[in-house]
Amino acid sequence: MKLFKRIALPVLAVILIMALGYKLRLSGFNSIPFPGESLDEYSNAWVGLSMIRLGVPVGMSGLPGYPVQDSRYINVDRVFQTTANGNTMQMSYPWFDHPPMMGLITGGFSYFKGARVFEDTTAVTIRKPVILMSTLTIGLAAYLAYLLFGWETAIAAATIIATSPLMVINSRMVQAENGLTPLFLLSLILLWWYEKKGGYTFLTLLSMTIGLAMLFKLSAVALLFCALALIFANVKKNSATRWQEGLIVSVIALSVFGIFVISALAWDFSTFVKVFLANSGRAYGIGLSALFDLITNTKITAVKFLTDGWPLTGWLGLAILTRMDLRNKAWYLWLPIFSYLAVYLFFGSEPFGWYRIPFLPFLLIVSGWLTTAFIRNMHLTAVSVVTLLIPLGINLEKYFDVHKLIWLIPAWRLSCLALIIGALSLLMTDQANPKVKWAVYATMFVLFSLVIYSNILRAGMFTVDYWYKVN
Amino acid sequence: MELSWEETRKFISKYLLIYFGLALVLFFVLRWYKTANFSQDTLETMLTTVSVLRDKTDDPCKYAILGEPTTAQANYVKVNIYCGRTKSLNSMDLRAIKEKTVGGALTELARINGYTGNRNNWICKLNRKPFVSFEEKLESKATVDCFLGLSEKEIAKYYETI
Repeated sequence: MKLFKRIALPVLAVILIMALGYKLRLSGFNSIPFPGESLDEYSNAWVGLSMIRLGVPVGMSGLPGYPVQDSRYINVDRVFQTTANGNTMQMSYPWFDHPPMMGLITGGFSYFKGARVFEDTTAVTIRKPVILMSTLTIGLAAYLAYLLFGWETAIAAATIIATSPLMVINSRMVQAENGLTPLFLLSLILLWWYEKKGGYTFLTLLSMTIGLAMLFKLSAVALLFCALALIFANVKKNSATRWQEGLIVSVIALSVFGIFVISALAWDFSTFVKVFLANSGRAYGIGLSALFDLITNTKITAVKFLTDGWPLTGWLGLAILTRMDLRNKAWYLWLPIFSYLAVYLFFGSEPFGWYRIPFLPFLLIVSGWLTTAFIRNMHLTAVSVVTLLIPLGINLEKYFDVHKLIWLIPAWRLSCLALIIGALSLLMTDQANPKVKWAVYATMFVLFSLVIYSNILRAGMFTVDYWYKVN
Repeated sequence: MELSWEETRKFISKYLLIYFGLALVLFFVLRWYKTANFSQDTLETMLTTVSVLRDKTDDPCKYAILGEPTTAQANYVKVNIYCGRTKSLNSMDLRAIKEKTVGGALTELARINGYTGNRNNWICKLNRKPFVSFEEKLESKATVDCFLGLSEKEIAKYYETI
């Protein structure tokens, strides 16, 4: 019975949360974001479909260096009647802008569903495997959160990731970042188990996971940096062991990524080199204020912003987390964020919202940690309350823009006052008193439920008409 | 778990041996697969075939290409279809029109918009002047206007109004 309560119940809870997340991602997935809002989604699928049918990847590219750059109108999902904005697609082959793993998955899935020409790769088809991958992200994030902080944080984090409006919409897009993110989480889980149990199996799996992530996008090199940083930070082991572990991880991960180079050798190595050099010469589109933008706004596509309070609570919580002595557990959160941040700032390129996807699960685990702070120490209830009020306020404001509920503002004002004063008054009460404890738990449970409900309400607002107004 | 350099060396050597063996196989398989499957005709088919999933129409004015091909710079043409009360105004990148003739542009536009009808009874003008045939060559910034159900007099009157 104890085992059931300790393991089976939380696992069941996470499975139900994953089902909820899957349902939210699936609702209206083929229309929001608008098909063609990022033509990269189709290009990724074309890469895979052409690899299967032609033996070479064919995709869209604006980079110089290709021997073939063909201007084409491929009116998949009627994008030239809606979002393509009149410019033709520049088709190139063999396509080497990015490694082809996302293409193979989505293009392969399309092929399996009967697609044979590029126009067959509609959003309703190609977004489905991505939704599955991002649902997996919920489960993996929950497991990582469980390993670091226990079941309460795991369930809170999973619920937030499953329902955060930004995550729900981002998780539908056929972008490489949605493929490398679950692998990022998996690599940390495997590293955790390797540090606990040892053995070449975990080390090899970890390294292959990192290499596989790099086959989605080169920016996944951040996973390698993160793994090496965590390995070298483990001062319980002697220096020689750490160097050997680092060497094994690097050799295996880079060799798995090397599959991309081998395929380039088979198809056209000189074009690969030219495109690689052109890639490294991309304009620094994110700008020098990229770090400020990353923390203060939540961009979702090339031009749209979807205001969501959860990432901000994650950034705020990160500042607290890095100061806490949690026996190095916190490193498994802030090291991945900082590693990817380094790569994000170095690579630059355009300020597309989807480049930020890999930050989100880690930030939202931090949000989950803050949300459950009151369980670890009731004096921190105010911290949990404020953490929840940030996204709740944003969701309610967006909801209020559409549904002018007269009672909402007075209810908000009174509730905030009561919650914050109530939380502060706990500093003067006896934490051990069971009545106080259960009153706090009940209140926080209701507040958390309200916030999650507001997430779901907000996700439900994303219709075609509403999406036009999102800016 | 503490590692020894001897064990690590053996592990990496074994791994790289297997890896390079598989890499060689992969290289030749990819090379062979490309040779066996790639053809310009298949590529062209994949690029140009209209999906069975896309709706088709017999109304040439039902759809239009939205927006301007800014990346084409001066290398564009305008192809406008007038169907009486409705019209389809399109700016097209000339680079994407393989057969750079009036007929080629109309065929490509029909493919993009999903128009399945023919061009019988269309009166078309190139740069507002009558043209000899659909084989007439298109230059950059040209305008093709096609009218359905209008006489030459009505077309001339229409040009006076715009």
